[in-house]
Amino acid sequence: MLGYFGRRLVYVVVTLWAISIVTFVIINLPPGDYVSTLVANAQAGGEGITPAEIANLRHRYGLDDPLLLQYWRWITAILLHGDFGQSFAWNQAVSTLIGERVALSAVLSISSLLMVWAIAFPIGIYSAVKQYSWGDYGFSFLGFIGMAVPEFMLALVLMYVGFRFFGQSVGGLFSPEFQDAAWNLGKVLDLLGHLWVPIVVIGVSGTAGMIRVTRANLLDELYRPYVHTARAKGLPEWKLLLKYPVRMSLSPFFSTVGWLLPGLIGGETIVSVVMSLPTGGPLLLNGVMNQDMYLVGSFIMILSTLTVIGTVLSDLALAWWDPRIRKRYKRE
Amino acid sequence: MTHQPFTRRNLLRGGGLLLLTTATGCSFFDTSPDTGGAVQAADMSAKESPALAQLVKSGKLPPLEQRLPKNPLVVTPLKEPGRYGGTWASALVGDDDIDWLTNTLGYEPLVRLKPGTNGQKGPDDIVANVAEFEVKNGGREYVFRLREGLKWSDGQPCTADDLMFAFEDVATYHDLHTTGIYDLYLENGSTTERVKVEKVDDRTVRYVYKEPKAGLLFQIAVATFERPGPIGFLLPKHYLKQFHKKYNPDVDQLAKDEQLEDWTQLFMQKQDPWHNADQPTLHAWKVSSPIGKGTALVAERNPYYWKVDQQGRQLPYIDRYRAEVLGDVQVELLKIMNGEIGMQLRNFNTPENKPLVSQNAAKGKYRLFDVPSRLSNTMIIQFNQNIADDELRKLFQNRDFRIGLSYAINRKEIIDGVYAGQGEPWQAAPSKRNVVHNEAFGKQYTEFDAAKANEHLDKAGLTKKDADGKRLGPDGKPLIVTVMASTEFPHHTEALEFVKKGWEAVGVGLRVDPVAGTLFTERTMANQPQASTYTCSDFDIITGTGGDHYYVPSNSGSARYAIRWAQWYGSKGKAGDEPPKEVRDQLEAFTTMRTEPDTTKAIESAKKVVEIAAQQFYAIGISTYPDEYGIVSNSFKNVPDSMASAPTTPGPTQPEQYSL
Amino acid sequence: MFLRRPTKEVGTLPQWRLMWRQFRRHRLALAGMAILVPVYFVAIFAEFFAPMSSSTANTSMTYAPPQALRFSGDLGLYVHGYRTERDPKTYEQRYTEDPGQRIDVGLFVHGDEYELLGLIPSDLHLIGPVTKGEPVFLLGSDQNGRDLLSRLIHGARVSLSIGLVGVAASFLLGMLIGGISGYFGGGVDNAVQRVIEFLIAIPTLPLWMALSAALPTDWGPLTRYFAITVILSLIGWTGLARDVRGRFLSLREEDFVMAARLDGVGRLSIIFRHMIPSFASHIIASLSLAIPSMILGETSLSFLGLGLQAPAVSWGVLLEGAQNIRVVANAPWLLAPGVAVVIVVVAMNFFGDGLRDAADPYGNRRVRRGRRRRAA
Repeated sequence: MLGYFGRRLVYVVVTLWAISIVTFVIINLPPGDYVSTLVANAQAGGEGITPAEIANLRHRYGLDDPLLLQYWRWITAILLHGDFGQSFAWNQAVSTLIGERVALSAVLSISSLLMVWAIAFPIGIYSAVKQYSWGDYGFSFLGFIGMAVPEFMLALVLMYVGFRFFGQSVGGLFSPEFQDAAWNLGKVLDLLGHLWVPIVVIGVSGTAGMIRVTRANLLDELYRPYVHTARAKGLPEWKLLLKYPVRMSLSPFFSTVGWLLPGLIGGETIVSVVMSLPTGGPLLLNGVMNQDMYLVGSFIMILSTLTVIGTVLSDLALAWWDPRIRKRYKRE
Repeated sequence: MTHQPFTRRNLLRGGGLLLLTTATGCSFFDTSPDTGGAVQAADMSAKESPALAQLVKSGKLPPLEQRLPKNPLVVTPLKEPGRYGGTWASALVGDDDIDWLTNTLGYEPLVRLKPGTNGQKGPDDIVANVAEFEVKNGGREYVFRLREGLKWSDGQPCTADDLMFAFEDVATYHDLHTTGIYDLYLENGSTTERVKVEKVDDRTVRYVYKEPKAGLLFQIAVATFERPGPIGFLLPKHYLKQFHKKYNPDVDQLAKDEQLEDWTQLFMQKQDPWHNADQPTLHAWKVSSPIGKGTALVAERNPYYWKVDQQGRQLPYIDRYRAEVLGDVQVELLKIMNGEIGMQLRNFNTPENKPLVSQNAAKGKYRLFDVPSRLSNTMIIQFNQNIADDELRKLFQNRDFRIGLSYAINRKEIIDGVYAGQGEPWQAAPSKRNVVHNEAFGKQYTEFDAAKANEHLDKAGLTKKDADGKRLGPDGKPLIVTVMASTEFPHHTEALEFVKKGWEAVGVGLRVDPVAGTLFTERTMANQPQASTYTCSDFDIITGTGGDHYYVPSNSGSARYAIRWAQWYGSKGKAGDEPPKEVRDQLEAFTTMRTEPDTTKAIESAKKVVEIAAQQFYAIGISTYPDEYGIVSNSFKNVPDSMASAPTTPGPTQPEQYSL
Repeated sequence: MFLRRPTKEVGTLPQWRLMWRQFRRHRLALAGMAILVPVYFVAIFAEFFAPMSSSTANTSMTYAPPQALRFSGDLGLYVHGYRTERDPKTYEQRYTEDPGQRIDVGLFVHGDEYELLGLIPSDLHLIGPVTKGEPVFLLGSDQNGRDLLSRLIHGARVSLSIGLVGVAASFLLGMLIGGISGYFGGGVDNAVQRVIEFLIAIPTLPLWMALSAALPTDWGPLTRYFAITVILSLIGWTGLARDVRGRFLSLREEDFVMAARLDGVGRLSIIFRHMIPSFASHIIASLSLAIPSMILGETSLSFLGLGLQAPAVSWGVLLEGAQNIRVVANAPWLLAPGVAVVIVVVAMNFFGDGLRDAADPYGNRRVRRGRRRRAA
């Protein structure tokens, strides 16, 4: 089994290398570069920029070098110095920029994930066991509605409701009066008051999806012969349920659980944009829009690395969870 | 809580938040904001902010007289002398919303626009600021004399060396400008010959040009040199030289340590006032928490600020400036409606939002103020006069074609349906506020008249039609013009739907191609689009930059109707296409206008440029641009009810004298 | 013979009839179908069902609130007109209902001309003002004075159809490749897994931007969007493939597969006749989630400025236009496309849910058991 994951590691390296190339190509695929963004912004502001200034800017950012050279510079800096390059727009190291956003992205991802799991598993199990009961219908209906509301609309409406009916300060993490205040209970409450909306918005659609999948998976297992056998042997119903079908029905989670890793820094782009939350998502989105090459490239490389690692972790988790798969790894 | 006077400063500087919770004596379980005991001042006779007075008392800061220059700039508050204290809450939308900072915090050029003016009247509108100035020898010689005893925000003297440093080691330093330097530092018409700059004495520097350099003062006054980039007219040498190759041979290593490629990047980073809080400044507030650190930019009063009110009290009145970096303009709008913003005139202030912003003024405890737009048209349609396709180019260059299409547009409908009834039909002509305003130009071909439209289109040779009445293009197929619109202006896509209806009624098809801003620029530069839309800036005599490319093909980056003519002009005939005689005449008049230091004579040339623009009819305009507006909290004093539309507004209204 | 016939009939009920029987038992699924069928019908014949074309604008009636459709025995259908005034300072258009002003509304009225399905020229509309051009806005009007109801109906066509193709493509690929990977295992599995890891890690956001910039301009926004959807679906099959593979990995160890293999059943036959049916329900559940998520995806991409753009009309485009405080505060009816999205997505989910249960072999067993119990 160790050998198997050892080999996986080699593949990971190859994959990441391929990704680095594709990423770089994709970033450079659209016509224009960061300087075009600058020019477009200047023109939108009513200013003209002369071709000489444009050439000057391109040179300063090294954008007039051949693409291959730009790639080489970027990738060697990452590999040799752990240097993810500079953001043009921010004039700061990419690692610093992302580092500042990790905490909040992680808090949001983890807390909404916990909310999703805490709500979805019990309801999913209930829905499967009591299929076609009124409770099942009710939860399904609510779940589907949660899944169907576009996130940005929900976020905007909740923000407006917060403003209109509760006079709440919206967007960001703190109300103005707490912005620079020292930490006390008030500040913590204020933070929570601001965080619940994004957590709910992010969690709502996830919860609904999770309920559906749990229910569907469990239904696949619930009427298998081994369940009948176990029941016939007189195992108490709840024990029977939790020990086998629920366990089996969780396998698909484990094949995707690793992908949560990139979410920790990627954050929920749309909700963060609507609500002005300083997570990683808007940073990436703005970078993409501005063609802030190294910011986007390095951000994506980090995300990709986490995704790939997450996939490996998923497989590990799956092996740990499902003895049948574990057996196969051993054989290999 | 006044017994701990320094807590607040320490708190803000060090950010040791939890540590100080105990120091301020506030309990953690307190639910009211713990700001560490802000010092409140009611004493209107104090010459400086109480917080600074405390620092002086404890010997941490020299007394006021030693901090102010010998001749501080005296600013008369707009309405009343203010009280010290308070925070100016503001907002940025996106992390690249730098202009708002430049215009509020960063508007301290050597010379400035007189409050209430926009510089269109020439030298009369420009007054001394950091330096006193003299123009000699018919606009060939400029002398700037810094205030005596002027100090940077760290207490170091600000001298002629700082001016020389900015010019020699930054603005024209080769490594920082490998492909050319800004043309205001060059002799007219040259790309390499620099202006002669001499240090006269410790605080005086003289710039001597061979030919008159019209527009230099104006460029300084509209903060051209305060914008991002290695430009700057006056920079703190004592701080920046450690990051400059000329003064520090080891600077490349420093750059490497910061994960930067070479020293120029490091220098740029250190020279950027909004991303680097260490750089000393002359601004009223000095950045203490830069962009990228936390969720807001915060600036604190500069203890060495060199302006006083007429009672000799040091400015600024307001203690701090805080601009939260928001991701979306809707959040800014909500914050305004919720009364969380002190004064703002950016991003949110579209004509469409005006009803909502007005409705909530009472709830949010703010008022609105007016700023005339710097734009003269909501949307202009520019046909590419230089498009590669021979047949299309011939058609687009035909004036009758454009006149016919202009008559086919129902502008009233667009004004009502897209611009909420604001504005009147108008071509791509200077606005009514402009010195070279030309009513006939603005109004020509703006009536909605299908008969006239058909007449002109027939005259343009589009006489063949198919069975459905669609006019056939040069290729024998129904003529459909693809009009590119930038998604930065969603109202253009809407307006084009109405234009399309009008054009189709006279047999010409229109395909709207909405693209993102960068792609728009790229395609324009590559001379690809058949036609494109944009807003139209007002004509600008003084600098000859700004929006003039809408009237004359002067700038190959943005004269979207004739990129190759502009290239010809920019390269002095070496590149691009030679324009026809009338356009060459126009460009010549334009050159004269730009180099003429005498405002009256410059206006004469400007009139000629505009007149030819009216004849040439490069672009079809829709309507005049509605006034812009800003909001200011009712607690703010000394903010005017209407502001001039200068590029740096609200800078010229002197934010340092705003008070809370 | 006379006696045998009914027995035979019962015994030879085709699979789809069995599924339909089972499907009918899921009441919410039926309700979902009852919503989806008419919605798709309306979307296909949008020109007829919409009172006006999607671009017809009454510019003196921007942001007009919805009018209530009234009926009286002698007057027939009508709505009240509006008195409008514009605030001279803020330029806000204010509307007050004017009961004295009656605008007749009719069924099968003549209005904007169109070509039904691009073929049959007509100007007939199911409902609309009797006099063409009179302001009748049953769901209100938008910022340009266009009828929201008409735009909603026209937008349905794009939103409801464009994602289906993408899902179908990625679905086939995911099943096939995941199945191959999971069944054969070893080197094949390894190679496929590497490809999947690689594809998953490709960021869709920049890819989407790059594509929308790189595709030819004379393609029109709709074609371009369609092309991008297809391309993205070609790399979007990976999630399902991993899922399917996981299933295969566990199923390979199951006795019934082993038994089939020992019986000498062909590989393809094992995959398609034995393995896939045994987890079809899981796949249908995924699919029933995938289509609505494509519809939602369309709206999100429009919101980020990467999807369809006006002047194309889709629910995403309509919602993007409504995505601001101004609308939420002063013209909330413009959020109606959001409600439409919710209704359709919920209906689709229930429909998919019903399908899933109907296709579930073990579910059938349970039903039979239930029936026995009831009989007893």
